[in-house]
Amino acid sequence: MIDELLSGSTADLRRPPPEVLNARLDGLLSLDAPTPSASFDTRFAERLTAQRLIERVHAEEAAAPVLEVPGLDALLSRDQPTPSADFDTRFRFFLRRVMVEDGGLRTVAPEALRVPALPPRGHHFTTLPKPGTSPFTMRRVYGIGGLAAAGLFGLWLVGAPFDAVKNADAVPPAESLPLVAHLDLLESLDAVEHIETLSPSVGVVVDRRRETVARLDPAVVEAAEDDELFQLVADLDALEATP
Amino acid sequence: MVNDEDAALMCLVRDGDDDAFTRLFARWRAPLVRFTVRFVGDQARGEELAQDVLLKIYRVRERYVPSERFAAYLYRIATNHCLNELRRAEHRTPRVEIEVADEATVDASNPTVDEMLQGDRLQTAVRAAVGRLPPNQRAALLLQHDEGLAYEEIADALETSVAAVKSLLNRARRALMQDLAPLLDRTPEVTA
Repeated sequence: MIDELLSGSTADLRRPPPEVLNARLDGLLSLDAPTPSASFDTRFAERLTAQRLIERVHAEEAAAPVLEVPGLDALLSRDQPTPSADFDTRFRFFLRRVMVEDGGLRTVAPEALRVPALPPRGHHFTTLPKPGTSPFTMRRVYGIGGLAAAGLFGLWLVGAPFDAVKNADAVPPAESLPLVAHLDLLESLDAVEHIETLSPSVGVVVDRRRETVARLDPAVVEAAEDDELFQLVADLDALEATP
Repeated sequence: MVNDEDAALMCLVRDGDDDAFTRLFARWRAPLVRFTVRFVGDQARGEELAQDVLLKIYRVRERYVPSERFAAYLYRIATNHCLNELRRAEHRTPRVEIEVADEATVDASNPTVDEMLQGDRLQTAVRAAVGRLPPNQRAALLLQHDEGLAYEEIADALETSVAAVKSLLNRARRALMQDLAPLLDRTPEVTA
């Protein structure tokens, strides 16, 4: 066939009549005849065996007595969905539209056939205002803004006395200042551990701090580059010098 | 009840005769593979679909009612299965089928028409042209041309009317003639 095709003259290229083309088309279509591959039967046999196994298991399950679960029926009965309030309305619209479409009647106004939109569900949406009645009108926004500005101004007016009172309360007595300073230092020094109970006596605290620092290798202290630690040592020295 | 040897075999399968199913399988495996492979345009996918169809027939054997020719029953299931597969494939990779088909587009000005007239190229071109048909036209064409189903049986398989089937077949043949024009003009009748 291919030889015939390739040796065809240009006269053969004229468009043949439809019945000839139809016959040629049928011939072309018959050329593509895929056949099952070599593994087709094996693969199907495996699937069929699996199917038969499944059926056997199902048959055994079906033959077994029905499992009784106490209370299951009652639990399942609790979920009993019912038509929503607008179900009938929507169905009436649907029905009317179908009847009009089936009857070929086109005289009904389109809006009469439009099915109303389903309202959003859930408690989050039930209190949504209707369009045009939003609580966030410009007048209300300006009102809220004005109230907020007035409140801030009021706070600014009364804020200074409050700060004075607060700061007065925060100032420790003069005699406890060294102790407070050392408590801060203690908290900031990582090398000190397990100091569970601090003595109210400044002298004892100083002694313990000094012991702690003394245990540190001076080379390590120098290499640590820990400003906080050096500051602490300096503070301790100054404190010791204080009578 | 139709007078159909395959329908009788299927009744035996329904009644629990596994050997009857083996005989049915042996008779229908090749035609079914030919149909599904040509429908989806892919050997592996087509074979998988053919197996699915045969397995489905076995699975629902207990509900079989011999109210039509077995071939019509088989190809109705096969057609639905293939159409579903095409819809799924389109959903997954919408361009694959088109890309495959485009590779074998027949163009009158294409200098490779001579090459296409030889061996596998010709077969590829025909398969691609069939693959470019809309699924319903493709199904109608294959069911009529390859499987020899009557208009009524095709209409049943495609869940449409006989008039619609005739229309589908006409459109399919017209599209193929246009698509394969360069080959048809130079191809003498091939006796299948």
